[in-house]
Order: sequence, then structure tokens, then C-alpha cells
Amino acid sequence: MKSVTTRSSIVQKQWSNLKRNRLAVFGLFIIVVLGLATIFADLLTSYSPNGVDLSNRVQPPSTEHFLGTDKLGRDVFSRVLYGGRLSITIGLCGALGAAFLGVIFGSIGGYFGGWVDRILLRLSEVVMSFPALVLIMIFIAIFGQDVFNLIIVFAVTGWIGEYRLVRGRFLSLKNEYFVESCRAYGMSNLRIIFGQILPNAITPVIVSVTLATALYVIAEAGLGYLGLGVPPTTPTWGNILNSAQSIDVVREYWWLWLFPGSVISLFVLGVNTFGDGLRDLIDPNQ
Amino acid sequence: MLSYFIKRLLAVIPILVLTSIIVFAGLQLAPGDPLTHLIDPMEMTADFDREALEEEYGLNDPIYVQYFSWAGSLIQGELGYSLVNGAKISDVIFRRLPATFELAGAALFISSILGILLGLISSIKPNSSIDYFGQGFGVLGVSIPDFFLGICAIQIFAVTLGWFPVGGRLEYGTEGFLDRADHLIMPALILGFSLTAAVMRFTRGSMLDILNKDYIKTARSKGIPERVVYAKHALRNALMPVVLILMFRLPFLVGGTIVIERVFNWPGMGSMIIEAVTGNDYPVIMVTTLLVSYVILLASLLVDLITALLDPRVRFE
Amino acid sequence: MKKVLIVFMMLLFSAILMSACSNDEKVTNETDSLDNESSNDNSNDAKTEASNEALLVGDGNGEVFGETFRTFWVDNPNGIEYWINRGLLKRDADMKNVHEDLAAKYEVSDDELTYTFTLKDVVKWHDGEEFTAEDVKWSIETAIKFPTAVDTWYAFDAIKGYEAYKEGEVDNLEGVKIKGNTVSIELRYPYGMFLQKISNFDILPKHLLGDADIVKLQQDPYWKKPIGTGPYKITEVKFGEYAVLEAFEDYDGPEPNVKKVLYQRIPEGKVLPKIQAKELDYIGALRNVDLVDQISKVPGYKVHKVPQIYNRYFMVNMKGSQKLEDIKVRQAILHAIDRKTIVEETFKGQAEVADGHVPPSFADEHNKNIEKYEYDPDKAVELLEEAGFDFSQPLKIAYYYDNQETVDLMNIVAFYLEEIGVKTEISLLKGDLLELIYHQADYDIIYAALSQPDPASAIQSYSEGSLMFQTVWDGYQYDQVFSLQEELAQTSDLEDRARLIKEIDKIQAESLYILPFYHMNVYAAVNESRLKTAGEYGNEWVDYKRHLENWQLKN
Repeated sequence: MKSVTTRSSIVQKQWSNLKRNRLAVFGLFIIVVLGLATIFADLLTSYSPNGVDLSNRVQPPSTEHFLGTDKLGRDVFSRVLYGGRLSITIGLCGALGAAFLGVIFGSIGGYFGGWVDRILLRLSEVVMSFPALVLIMIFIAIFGQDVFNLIIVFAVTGWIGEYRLVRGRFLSLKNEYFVESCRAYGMSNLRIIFGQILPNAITPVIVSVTLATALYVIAEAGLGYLGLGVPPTTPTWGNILNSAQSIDVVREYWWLWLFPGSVISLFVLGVNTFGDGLRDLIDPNQ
Repeated sequence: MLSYFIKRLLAVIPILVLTSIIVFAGLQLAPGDPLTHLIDPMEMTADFDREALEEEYGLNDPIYVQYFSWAGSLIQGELGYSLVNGAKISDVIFRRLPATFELAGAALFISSILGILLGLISSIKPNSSIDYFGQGFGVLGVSIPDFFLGICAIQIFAVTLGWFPVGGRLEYGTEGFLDRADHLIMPALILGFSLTAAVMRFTRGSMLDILNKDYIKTARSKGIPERVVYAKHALRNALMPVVLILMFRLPFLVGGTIVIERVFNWPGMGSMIIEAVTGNDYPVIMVTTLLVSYVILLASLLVDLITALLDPRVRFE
Repeated sequence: MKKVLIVFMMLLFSAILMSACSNDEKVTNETDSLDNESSNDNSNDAKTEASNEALLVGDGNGEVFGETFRTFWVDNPNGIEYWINRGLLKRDADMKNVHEDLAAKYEVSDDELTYTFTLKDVVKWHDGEEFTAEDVKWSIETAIKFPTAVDTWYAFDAIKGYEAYKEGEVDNLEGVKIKGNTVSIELRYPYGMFLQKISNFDILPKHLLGDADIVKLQQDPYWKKPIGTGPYKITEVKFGEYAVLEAFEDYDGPEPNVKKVLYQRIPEGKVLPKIQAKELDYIGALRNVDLVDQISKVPGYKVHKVPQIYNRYFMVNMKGSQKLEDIKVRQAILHAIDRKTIVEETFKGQAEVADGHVPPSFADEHNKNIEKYEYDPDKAVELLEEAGFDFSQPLKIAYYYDNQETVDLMNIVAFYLEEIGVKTEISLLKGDLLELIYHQADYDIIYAALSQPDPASAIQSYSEGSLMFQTVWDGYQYDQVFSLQEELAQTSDLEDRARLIKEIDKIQAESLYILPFYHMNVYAAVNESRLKTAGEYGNEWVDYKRHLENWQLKN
């Protein structure tokens, strides 16, 4: 197990490489700051995200309410923090779920080939031929609006990217010498797939999960805006923006949409720049 | 070439069928009931003749019968009727399609021009400040949710500055395209923005790739002016993949259209899909989704064929 | 170099932020002038010309202008339904008395079982065909067979031979007879509101729809451009955009002053911009608090409160939920929620706290002596403890209107209940609502709304035949109310009716099967700088006397 030491030194080297990519560091900084802020929301604000205060409706930003209050007198700052917690979780879990499916399908299809591979390939083509948003909307119409459902929907509709990545890697790796020798030793297929080949194919998946998280945070926001996301009584970034559908909110109460919208954009920007940096690092040729 | 074409076409057919079955099955699972859309459930009396209505709408047939009757009439071009307002779906689509084409087309046009231009400029001097500007633009394009950008644009350009209308497409007494161009500009720009970013990133990558190729280096060493190298040798070869990426962005364009049409109250297919989903209007959801996915499938078929035409190696894979 | 990029992005962000913030302050001060300017900029010659001659009528009911008009027999407004078509009678805006319309006169027999309508001599459909008694009989018979029309709305269930005809046992509705230009309708039992109910029923042309498939009536091409007998006819329709109406040259009544009407159905969110651009002269059925508030601030516009019952309440799942079986729990919920503050703060005075079904604006029928549940959280806790309420179980609250206003209210209710230690679980019902609300009924209370034209209809919504008493209230029937309701149904005298309504309202309110929340006001908005109406505003969903002939455009 000497590979452990080399691996950690590779990580160190890559970290120092990453540090040189200022954009990626900038992205990571945003992710960490916003992430911590949502995790420790309880410490940053004393307001409950659902604390209705009817005598303080639609107050513009002030020292008391840092980002103002919404139509029910709830503190927008607190809602953005707590909403972010859920939105980021949904985005991340959706991306991880999609990656999980993609990796499983990709490795099985790529390793075994034959009819299994053909079926999976057809399936991926079918899923790809639907615009993701339409597919998500249909899924939600069927299974209902729920945080868990949304994550499942993201996973079920989003696995194509990882599937193709992993399948491609498996196709080229399965005939390599080290795989042949594993087979010769009588290692089971399962162990070869997950113990031997997968570790060599997983790095691009990490980048893909990062970028997918950004995509799903945006998707959640979009669905919330359309009123099709998680139940509207739960604060998420999308649901906070739902009120911006009416034009009078857009014109009269700018703090209700500008702040949440900017925070979403900033977070996604951070994730994207970090993901780009990570990709440059892993695959400098691209 | 022909045999490849036929092979490719035959491979698409099972996908078409599978797609239709999936769409159909999915909507059968949907716990939707179009009747309560017509009448508030609180105002229904016990003697309300719901069963007769369901019977007549064919909601009580076995599922496979419903599928075949639906698929059969679909092939004959009979798309059925909306459950919610009884309109002929084909009529609705024909009426809505021009609006969506107009918006998506304008967005595609804007984003190709802008994206290719920006991509080219950044590729001329990699790692210059112009390049960084372009790249920053690209990252912003994929990071800002387009509906948020739309809201910002409405606030700034429609509400505050009053340059453009708040939304809508056509108003009474205005028929011509020029009359309503001011309605189109904002949504098309916003929809094009995220697309522009993708095209720009791709053009830049593709250009840099080609500029490193040996024949470009040869051309340069022969003393051909930079301008000519770019225009004649590099650009032509770099543009092909860019055209293809435009095709591949089609699903994203559809998704974006749905949201942007909602933001700007644009009467196209996108708002129709949202209305159908919220109103549990199965036939409309089924048919539009199916058509959209078919268009995308055919587009990707087209992409394959063009690639095959240009690159003979693909055919013999 | 990458610093440049970071700085650039920061700048862009702050630019968006700053422009929006700083601009906004300007907007709040200068909204009106800015809007006038922008609308002038946008309008071109063709449009200005059109707006000068045409009355601009809109409908912001949230629905888009679909691909057809809705069948007139479904209780969903087309906005201009009663501009282009009508029934035998019309009601006053206050919903009490009826007047002749297609019928030149009507007679009621002494036993109140036979109603005879003598039709006007010459009435023409918009296509030039003559309107006849045949149309009336055909319309009633077809509507009974048409599944989406609810027969009790038009009192058809009281007509003699109704059941036999509905079941298909006979081909002829026994109670409706025509002779020349008279139509007589015979009832099985006296029906106090028969004239009011039938007045809302649209007569449709037999010569155009007679051959249509009854169940698929809505799919008939007729609905692309309905032909009616009303003062205006449709001349041009662009679905999704507008319809043009013109005064009908052969109209039998007084000729309207306004010759051309432009009807637009607008999504709710776009009503205000339209009004600020002066692109709407009249719009009815407004129920959105913020919208009404904003419109009332637009110069030249005036909003008018309309006599209409629009109640919002929680329906209790008596049968399925054990939690609310004890009336003290139901009282506690009402005591726990500060409805007065909600109404004052979030509804800007456009609603009133409800104690029963009939709002105070219907003064004759409103009962002042109904028990009021004031905001008193301490008492609520006390009541819950007395009832032995289990605080560890969440109260399941369901709702099915997925608009922002409802979501906001659900959040408020959850907040107030949590203040007294009651946990809540809020869920949106989607899909087969009939099944979910009445049969599955997986909730303790459900947020619902009831819109009715008059107090009696509101009271009768919770009668023995209603779905509630067969599902969620099954086993909680109260005979006293049912017999009073039957008495009310057969009484035509207005004073007796008012007394009965008051009595029933009180008993229903005391039993708290529904937790009354508030009466919403409904408004009509008029651009008074351009339009002079007849000054009567009523329920847009009902055929009331609008006096369209007196509407006038100012120049």
C-alpha cells in the first residue's frame, strides 16, 4: 500500500497547483463563505425564516433587517440564509445522485458491453432527447412537490454526463493489462469494476459533480420561480424568488428579488469558477 | 453513405416509439384530474355527473387501448384536444409556434454572432485582458439564472428607463414584425445571453485547438499575414464544431424558452407547456413534450449526418 | 491578469445592484409620470387610433385567453359572456330582484309551481337567424345532459320530470313546454329562488349547436366565435391576444353608445402595467389585494366594490380527523389566529373577518349575533388543554390554490399556531382534487374558498345534498339546519328568506364544521377619465343589469 503516500503527495501538489489558479481559489472562497453562512445561519441571525411579523411588512433594508422584510414581515436575510442551506443541499444531493446513477450505469455498460450496454445507451439517448426542464416538470407533476422528490428527479434526469464519461473510460481501460491480470487472478467482476477500474475513472466525475451542483442550484431556483419546485411553504432560494412573478414586486420591492437573486448568482459563479479550475487541473489539455 | 444514413434512421425509430411510450406512461401515472380545473371542488354537488364525463373523455378505457388510440391518431396528424379548454391541439401549436420560433431564432442568431465574435477575439490573444473579459462573460452567462437576469432587465430597461415594454408580444392594431420588434429585443437578448457564453467558450477552445495545428504553423512560417491565417485557415475549420454545438444546445434553448416566456409573458409554446402542467392538461403535455423531443432527436440525427459527411472516418466506426 | 477578471465581475455585480437600488427610489416618486411617458413612447399610431374609438375591456382572472371561449354553461367567466349573450331574465346588481330580458314578461302561478315566460317578439341571433322558444327548450334540455354544467346552479333539478330525463328514461323534459312564443316551466316543488337561478342561464342557438355532441360541446367550433343575442357581437378573435366586439345592429334593446369594444384577457400579473399604460378602461372580478391597491392609486382610475360573496375558510375533516372532534379545539384554532391583524395588514382593508357565511355588506341577511372568536392565544391554550389536545402531533393543513396569496396565508397560520405550541404540517393538494379533498381527505383542515352571487346560494352550499355531508362530514348531519334549508328553498318572500338565512347561518357558525376566516371584497376597476359607466357594478360571473347602453366614452 505504498500508493497511499504517493497519492497524498499528489493531492498536496495539486492543491498548490490549484492555489496558483486564483480564479478557482476565488470560487472556493465564495463557496466556503456562503456555505458556512448557511450552515451557521442560527448564529448570524436571530430571526426565524418563518417568523411572521405583520406589523413590519415589506420594510426596505435597515439596520434591524439587514436585507429588509418580505410581504409577511419575515426577515429576508434570514430566509436567504436558511433557504440557501436547503437549496445547496438539494443541488449537491441531486448532483451526487445523478453521478451515482451515471457511474453505476457507465461502469456496468462499459465493462460488460453487449446488450446491457446497448439498452443503457438507448435509454440515455431517450433521456437526452427531452429538454431537462420539461422532463423535470413532468416528473414533478407525477410525483408531487417535495424536497426528496426534487432530488430524485434531478438524479434521474441528470445522469447522462457522468454515464458517458465513465463509460468511455471503462471502454478504454477494460482491456488494459492490469485489468487482464486481475481477471487472471480470478477476481470477481464487481471487485474489478469498483476496486480496480473505477478509481482510475472517477476524477473527471468530481469536476462534473461540481458543475452539476451549480446547474441544479439554478434549476431549483428556476422551478421555485415558476412555482413548481419544493412546496412553497419551505424557504429555498427558488421559493423566495417566486414572489417576483408579479410585476408589482419587481417594481416596488426590489430587495425581495435582487438580494436572493444576487446570492444565487454569486454562489453559482463560485461553483463554476471552482469547477473550471478543477478541470484545468485534472485535464490541462482541455 | 446511403447505407449509413438508413442505418442511423432505423436506429432512431425505436427511440421514437420508446419516447412516446415513456411520455404516455408518465402521464398515466400523473394524479391529475382536469375536471376540477373547470369547476371549483367546493362548488360541486353530490349529483355532479363526473363518471359520464370521464367515460366520454375515454379516461376509463384500459391503458394500452388509450395508448394505441392516441398513437394511432397521432400518426394521422390528429393531435387531439385539450382537456381544459377543448381547443384542437394542432391549432394551438400552429398558433404558438411562430412566437417561439421568433424568440428562439432571434436568441440563436444573437448568441451565435456574439458568441463567435467574442470567442474569436479571446482566442487571438490568449490570456490577455480581452480574453479574461470574454471568459468572465462566459462564466457569468452560465452562472446568472436567466429569469433573474430577465427580472433585472425588466426593472432597469422597462420600468425605470421605459425603453422597452414590460412584456407581451403583440398588441391590438400592430401586425408587422417591426411593430413588435421592441417586444422581442429584451427576451431574445436575455435568452441569448447564456447561450452566447456557451458558444463563446466553445469557439475559443476550438480556435485555440486549430491554431496549434501544424498546418497553421506552416502557413505562418510561409509568411502568410496573420489576418489571412485567421480568416481563411483557422476560422473555417473552427466553425464547424461551433455549428454543431448550436444544435446540441437545442434542449437548453427549449428549457430557457420556457422560463423566459414566463418572465416576459410571451405567448409561445413555453408558456403553453407551463399552463398545461399546472392545469393537468394531459393531452397537451403529452403531445408538446413528444414533439419537442422529436425535434431534438431529429436535430441530433442531422448533426450525426453532417459530421459523417464531413468526416468519413465516422461512417466506418 | 486574473485580478482584472475578478475586479470586472465584482464591478458588474455591484453595478446591477446599484442601478436597481438607486433607480428604484426614483420609481416610487415618479411612477406615474414615467409610466405615462413610456406608454406614449410605445404606442404607435394604429394603437392610439384603436384606443380612441374602442372601449377596452379586460379580464384578469389569472387564466390566459385560451384557444376557445368557455362553454357559457360552465361557471367560469369569459369576461364578456354577458355582453354577447343573455338569458331569459336579468338580475339587479344586488342580486335581489329580476327583470325581463329575452322574456318580455313572466308570470308565476299562485301555487308557485308554474312559471310562464312570454318571449320578446323579434329577437335575432348575431348571424341573423330568429331567436325562438325552441332555443330555450333545447338549451335547458341540453344543459341537463351536459356533464360539466351543474344543474343545481340553474335550479333545473326542481323541474318536473328532471330525473327521468337526466337518466335517459324519456326523451322529453316533461316540465318545459313551448307554445308559440311562450315557454312554461313546471316545477316539482315550490322553489323560492327559481327566477334568480334561471336568470343566470344562457340560452344558446339550437340552429348552430343542435347537432353537436353534447359531451364534447366544448370542442364545437362554435366556441371559437360564439353567436349570441346580446348587445354586442364578436367580429374578430385573436386568441391569446384580444377579441373585437361591435354593437349588434339588430339588437332588440336600446342601442349602446359605445360601438366597438376591445376585449383582452390578461394574466393577473400584467393587469397593472396595462392599466398604468391606460390600455384598459374596465376590468371586473378583481380579487388580488395588492393589485386593487395599486390600481386605486393610478390617476383617473377608480375601483368599485361589488356585492358578491367570496368567503375564505378552513373546512374541517370531521370524520377522518379525530383531533378536531372536540369543538373546543376548533374554537381554539380561531382564537389562536389574529384574523383582524391579518385582514388589516395583509389585505389592506379589502376583506372583513368572517363569523358566518353572509358578509355585512348584505345587510338584510347578515346576522350580527353570531358568536365572534376574538384573538386570544391564552384562551386558545386553555381550550386546547381542556380538550386534552395532543401537542406532539402536528395539525395537518391542506390547501389547493397554489397562488402566492394562499401560500403566504398558510405561512401566517402556521406561525400563529406554532405560537400556541401547535405544530403544523402544510401540504399542497395537486391532481385529482375531488378524490383528494373528499374521499382520501388526508388532512385535519383544508383551506377553501366559496364564491356565490347571493346569501341564499352561499347558505345552501352546505346542504344535505352537498358532497361534504356524504364524505368529510358524514355522520355529522344536523336535521334542524336541513329542514330550515328546505324551508328556505321553497320560500320566495324576501323578508322570510332573510330571517331563515340569518337563522341557518347562526346554527352553522356555532357548529364550526368550517372555520370562517374572512370575506374577501371583489372589485371592478374603471378608467373614469375616459369611461362613464351606468354606475352599477355587480358580480361579473352573473348576468346582472349592467345597462351597457348607457356606457359612454369621454373624449
